[in-house]
Amino acid sequence: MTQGSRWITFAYVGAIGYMLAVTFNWPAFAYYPLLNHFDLDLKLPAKTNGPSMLYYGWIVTSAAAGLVLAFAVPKSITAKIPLALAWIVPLLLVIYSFIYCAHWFTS
Amino acid sequence: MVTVLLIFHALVSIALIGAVTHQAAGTFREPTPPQTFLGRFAATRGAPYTNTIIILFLINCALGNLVYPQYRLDVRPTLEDLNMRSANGIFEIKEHLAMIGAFMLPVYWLIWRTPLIPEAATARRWLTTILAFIVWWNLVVGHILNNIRGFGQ
Repeated sequence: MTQGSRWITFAYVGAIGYMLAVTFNWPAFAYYPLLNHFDLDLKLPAKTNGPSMLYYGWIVTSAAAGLVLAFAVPKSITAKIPLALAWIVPLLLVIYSFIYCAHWFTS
Repeated sequence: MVTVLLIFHALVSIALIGAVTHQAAGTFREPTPPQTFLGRFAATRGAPYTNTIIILFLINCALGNLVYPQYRLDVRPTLEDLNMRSANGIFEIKEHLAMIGAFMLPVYWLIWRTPLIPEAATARRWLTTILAFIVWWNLVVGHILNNIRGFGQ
């Protein structure tokens, strides 16, 4: 696993960072599909600009965090990451996604 | 064009669901000769599926991202008007699961790299099962939402 240590860091930081970006609303930008326009302003008036999409912004935020930390975290630290986290981290993130979205299922 | 992409998205999902389910089932197989249908289904070497699954997963994410704006403009407002909150909720979960799965692909690739590391057997089993769950959830939810909105509307 150590040979892919940068990828390991990218994967964990990206996956965890994505759910953090969603939870705390940290998109790098917003996309306005009606105008086919990307903008750093997350709250352009919907009346004239249509709805905004933050999904792409969340992905870019988390991927950027993953890339930066992939090169910042020393390989010696990444090599100590237990193998079990390969499934425990995504399992917890999947469960958290359901909990985070639970408000859609309550009136 | 969006309809073509949506159909392609569904077809790639079907190929992906077959591959990842096969691979996940293989991680639970007992080392005995298969005698039942399920046993034969699981009697497969998982490692050769890995690169195909990764490529299909990434293509599917890209296709989903391409058709998403149309969903945001046409389908979601309709669901909101009809107060179908659960439908929007299952889609929100779908988009989050897709990204969790996509980000975990490098780890998935490493633990399936040959020669397989015996210590990673548990991680292979459960990460592959989680990816299979994500693919199943996303295909079923996409199918439900497509049926709610209706084809070619």
